[in-house]
Amino acid sequence: MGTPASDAETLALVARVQAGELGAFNTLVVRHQDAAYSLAYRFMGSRQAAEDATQEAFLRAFRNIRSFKGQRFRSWLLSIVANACRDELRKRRRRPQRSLDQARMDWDRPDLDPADEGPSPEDAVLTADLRDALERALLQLPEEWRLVVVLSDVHGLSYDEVAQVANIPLGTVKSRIARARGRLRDILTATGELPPALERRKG
Amino acid sequence: MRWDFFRRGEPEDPAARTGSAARDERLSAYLDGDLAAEEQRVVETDLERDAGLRTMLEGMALVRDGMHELGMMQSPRSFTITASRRPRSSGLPRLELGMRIATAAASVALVAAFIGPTFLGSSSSDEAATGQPVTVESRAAKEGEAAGAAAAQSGTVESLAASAPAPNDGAAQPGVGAAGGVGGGLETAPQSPEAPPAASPENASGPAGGADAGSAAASGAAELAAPTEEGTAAADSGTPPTAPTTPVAEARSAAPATADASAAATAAGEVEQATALSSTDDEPSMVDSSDGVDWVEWTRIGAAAALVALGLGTLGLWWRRRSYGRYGM
Repeated sequence: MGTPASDAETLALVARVQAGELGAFNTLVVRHQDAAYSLAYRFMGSRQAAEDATQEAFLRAFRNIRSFKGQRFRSWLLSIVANACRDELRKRRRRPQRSLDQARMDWDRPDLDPADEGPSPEDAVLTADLRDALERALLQLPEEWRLVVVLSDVHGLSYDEVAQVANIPLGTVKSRIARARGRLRDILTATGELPPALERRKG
Repeated sequence: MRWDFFRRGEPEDPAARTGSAARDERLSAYLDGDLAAEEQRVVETDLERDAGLRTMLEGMALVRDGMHELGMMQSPRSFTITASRRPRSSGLPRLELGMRIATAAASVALVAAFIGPTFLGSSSSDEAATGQPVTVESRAAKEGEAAGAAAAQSGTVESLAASAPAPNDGAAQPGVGAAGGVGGGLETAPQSPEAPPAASPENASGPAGGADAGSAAASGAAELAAPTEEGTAAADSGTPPTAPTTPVAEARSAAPATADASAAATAAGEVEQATALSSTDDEPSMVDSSDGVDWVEWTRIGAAAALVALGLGTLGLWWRRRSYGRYGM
């Protein structure tokens, strides 16, 4: 979530980009590339696909920077990332069988970034096993459910922002988030990961 | 109420699926504090009564918090854009704006093509009455029929012309014979593109010399239905055209070459009167008689085609923007 000050700074940078300054755009890229790549990776489940989609998203953002009308830059950028991911997924589905098999393998075994172990405070909900299980369960969701639940629960966007980024009605956002959470819970329960985690949390 | 906590996937029963989805939506909204106060109390009451529902809520809360803990990933590389890879700005917003303007212009052109002729007072008055486009042939046939009907009412051109003595010089009285006899044609000829050149006094007294006014009077109307070249040649030679089959053409062919100019003038005068009553050619016509092309009609067709094409294009761009965000970004 951006503060008013950082939002104002972002708007100033966008204005410079709209004036044709590439350096200002690269400043924005550096600030938002982790969020963009995270969304792409969670959405697509493959590092290579996520990199391609993220790069494409930044190129599209630069090409269309004039259409940015002062809304939240992060939401605007994430909507571009989401669309780039959809396009990349479509493209990969059209590829020959060998590549599809490879893609399926990628999806079955998401290549977790070693640098992405994340903080492990003592009160963390997730153990390493549960984290892996959640990552895998996420990839079993329908694509559009996955997108909204990642935007909402990983990126912390509000319902309205998710609706804007995913370009769907607010009611659909709420419904998809609820179903995605319910499906994830059911998957983790079925794999035996959830009950111990609940016990740990209670104890 | 007992919840099937361990069931995976969607249940078979649609009613159960709806119930499961509704349950999860309520629990999810409760977690996010998105329920109204009254609904929240209902959920809390259900939770107190149902241990299974409490477990489901706790599981959903763990998933939500666990997702939050997944957090942002570190991007494996920089995605900055170098000057050499600097992309060009998208032209789609301008294209959509241009398409919208062009669509509006085509719409205006189409409306103007339908309404314009009416306001200009052209042949569209005929069209307005019949609902059919006016063409060269239909207008000429219409006028020929009107003239023929007038001739029949006047006691037939044939009888008057046949009983008249043959003049020595039919073209010697252009002021009476030609001007009066051609009346039906002369009345419209100066303003109408369809008017044949033979309908002028000069042509009536042309090289043939013996062309009588009665024949010229009939031809003045008949030529409206006859091909231009043929009508002109016939008038010049004094020979009636053979192609036309309209009543006026028949009247003309029935008139002998020796008909009296004044009698023919009388008959033709009545034809003139009838023709004048039925004619709407007082205004300039938009029909090009030189090649038979109706520009009004073609303008309408062109504008309609452009409107359809541009409208579909604009709709496509709008749909793309609506479906994929701003121009597929």
